[in-house]
Amino acid sequence: MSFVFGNPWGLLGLLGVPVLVLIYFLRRKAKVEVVTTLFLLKRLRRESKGGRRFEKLERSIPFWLQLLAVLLLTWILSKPKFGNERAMQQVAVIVDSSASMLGCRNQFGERLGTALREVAAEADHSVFYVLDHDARRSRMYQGENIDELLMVMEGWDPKDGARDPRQAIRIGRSLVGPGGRVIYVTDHAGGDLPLGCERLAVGSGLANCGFTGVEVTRSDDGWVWSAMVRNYGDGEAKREWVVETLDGRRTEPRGVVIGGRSFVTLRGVFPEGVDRCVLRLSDDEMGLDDVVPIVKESPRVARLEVLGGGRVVELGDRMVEGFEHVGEAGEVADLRLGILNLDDEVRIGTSGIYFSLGGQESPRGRILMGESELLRGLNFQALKVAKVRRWKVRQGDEVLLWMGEVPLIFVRTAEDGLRSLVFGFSLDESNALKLPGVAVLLHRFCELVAKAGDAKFAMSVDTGQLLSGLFPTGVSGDRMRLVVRDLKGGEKEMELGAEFRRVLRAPREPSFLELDLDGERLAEIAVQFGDTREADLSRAGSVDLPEREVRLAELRTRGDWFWRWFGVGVLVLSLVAWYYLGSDLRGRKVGGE
Amino acid sequence: MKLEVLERLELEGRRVAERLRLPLGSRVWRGQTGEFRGGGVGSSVDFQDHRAYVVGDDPRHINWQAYARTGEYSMKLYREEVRPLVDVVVDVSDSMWLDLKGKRLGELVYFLVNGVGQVGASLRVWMVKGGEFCEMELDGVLGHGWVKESQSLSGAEEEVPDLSRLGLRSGAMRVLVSDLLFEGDPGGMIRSLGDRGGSGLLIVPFAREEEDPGWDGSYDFIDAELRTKHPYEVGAGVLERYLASYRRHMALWREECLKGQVTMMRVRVEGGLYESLVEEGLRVGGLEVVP
Repeated sequence: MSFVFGNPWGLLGLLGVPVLVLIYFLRRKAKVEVVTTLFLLKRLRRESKGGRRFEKLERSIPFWLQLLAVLLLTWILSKPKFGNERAMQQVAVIVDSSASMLGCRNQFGERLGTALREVAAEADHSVFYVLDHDARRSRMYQGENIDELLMVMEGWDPKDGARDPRQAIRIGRSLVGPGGRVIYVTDHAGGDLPLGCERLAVGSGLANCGFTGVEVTRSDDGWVWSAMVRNYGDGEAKREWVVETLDGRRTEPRGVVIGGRSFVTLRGVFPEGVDRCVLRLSDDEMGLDDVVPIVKESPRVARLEVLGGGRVVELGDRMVEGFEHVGEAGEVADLRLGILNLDDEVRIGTSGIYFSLGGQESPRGRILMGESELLRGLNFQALKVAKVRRWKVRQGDEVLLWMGEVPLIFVRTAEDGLRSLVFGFSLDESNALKLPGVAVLLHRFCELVAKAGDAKFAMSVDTGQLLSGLFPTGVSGDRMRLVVRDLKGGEKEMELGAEFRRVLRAPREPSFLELDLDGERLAEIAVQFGDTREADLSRAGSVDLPEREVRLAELRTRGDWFWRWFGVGVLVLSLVAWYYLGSDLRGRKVGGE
Repeated sequence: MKLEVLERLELEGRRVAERLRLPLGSRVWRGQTGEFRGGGVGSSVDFQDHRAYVVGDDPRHINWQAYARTGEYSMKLYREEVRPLVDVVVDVSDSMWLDLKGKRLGELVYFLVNGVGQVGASLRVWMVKGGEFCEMELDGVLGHGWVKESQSLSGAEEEVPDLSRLGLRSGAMRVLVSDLLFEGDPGGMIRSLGDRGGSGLLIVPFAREEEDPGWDGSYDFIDAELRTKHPYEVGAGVLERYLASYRRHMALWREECLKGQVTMMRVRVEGGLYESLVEEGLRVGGLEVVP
């Protein structure tokens, strides 16, 4: 078994031995005594010829205890290591799967393979765990074969946004333990990593150009798109761009010159007869931002039917005009706006916003707010109500606002789940419409109703974004169908599982989504690459794994497992030596007396 | 040793000699007329036997009462009273003068000289130091000159005293005062004490630090006689072996005394002289109480 000192400087502790001997020689002085029985002592043959001083040490218990303590301390400080007959190491490789890694995709496999082979050479056996930087994803590889690992990594598709890898690094550390290696493979040479995590940067600075944002608006000329193209490089870049439709039409390529580190905005009208199209730049290393799908965006709305007249009609018009989520009802209405008597039942079959018909009593008391998401951050203290109607609160009603004991505003939920917002006063006998709080309350309620409705809409989302807000509330997944249409013409249906509202995300690359409800098209969605931070490849860099000579020795050897016990031994020896020295001093004192 | 100290020691020896003495009365003496019972018929007042009168007998000892009853002369025989002989040999080697032992030595000398003098015994005193010796006049001893005389002896300390060279008297009680702390065969000395009709008594003063020194640690031992320095490390083991060696040494002397019918009594140097003498002297028959 081989043997090395992890800290050879610790052997300097041996200097404590001559120091200790010197101290004892200086400290202990022989007593002079006249004796008459020396011949008896001579018989014992204990007289040492010149070795008396060492005999003195020989019989000094504290000296030997302290000497042993010094030797143990030297042993601990020098960190002795014994050879490992079978050296094994575990290595966790955390791969940065952000889109910027596309810039180094070509050299990724070669660099990773070289680095891992160097790591593997440090031990007889190496077990590799490859994890994605998104800790929620399953392990990409586990095994000892680097070739297999690289083969698996060929199917790796880095298209995420920027992500903090710390959670994945923590999982990697827990997999390999404190003695294993954790390597974070990325394309960035800088940035902080958790202690003990090594960086392997495989990137190289590239001059990338791509779309950084797009806006679709409706103007007098029709639907117009406006896209911003950014050059992340220092030099001027020349690109060509086209507009494509899903039926294969394509505009003539047009050139664009973008100065270093600057922007250019492209504008155009939607192609004739389509609701969606694709803007495409000529390809470069980073392809995700070279293409952007766009749709004629129209928000999801609650179709409003106004019942009554006067100020209610006025309010309805203002809501249609001012609220994004409110539209005019046609044949179908999702939301009714009207006035109710106490004797009237809240109408079923549709959600509604109702004001009371003339008040009967003057309310007294303070305004108290209930706990509801609809009221979050709102203030109604300025609300003035001359007369109120005393509505009976039923089980299931959610009172939003009280004045004394009179419910001023409440939400009533019918048996079919449709909700109505009821005001216990009339518009004429209050200043409600002048209050921002009431406007926001109405807006929020309309948005709720719109999200639960089945009005058609079109919108844009980012790649990888959660789609929870996409689906109408209260509608089961089996009534809906979600299809992904990639920009190469492919089509794939996404499964709406039990937890689809919570977990379903948009595709990781630009594409179109089509959402159908009961066989009818409900929504068209453009999925756009949205993390422009990942598009800047100019800051990518290359860093090799650090030299690990010390680690190599550590791996091929194991430390002294008993060093803690030796530490305790040093303490005990020191205490016992101290006790003996103390008793020696006590003895001298008594003798002196 | 200062004169006043010697006088104080002499006073103490004389005081103890009034209460204790050598066992002169417990044995039958031969020799000059004296106060102790002799082996023959003498003129003491102690009646011993009757016998028929023969010519030449002292008519003062004719038993006239018996003649009146029987008409024959018979003689009353009385115990002979003789003068005992006591030879005292004092070991005056340097080890005998160490601290308390030196004082005890002085007390013992004065005790013996005074005690022997009080009973009218014939006393001769020798001082020995290694292979050298000298005989002291009694006046010289009682005049405290013996200390100076003894210090003038230059005998080699390592030599064992040869008592046969002293000319000890036949039939004398031979008293040797020595700490016995020297190497050599004790048999020769013991035989010298007991031969030619003599009876031996060995008085051995000893100090507590010899018997149980309690050494522990580093020592530079100075030989009391040679004045040479000897460095030693004494731990529990060494001390234990020393004690065993000391006990063996004394046991060897005691064994030789037993063989040679010499009485050996050890006298502690610590404490009073009387108490130290009584402690072992009466038990082993080395001393007797003055009647």
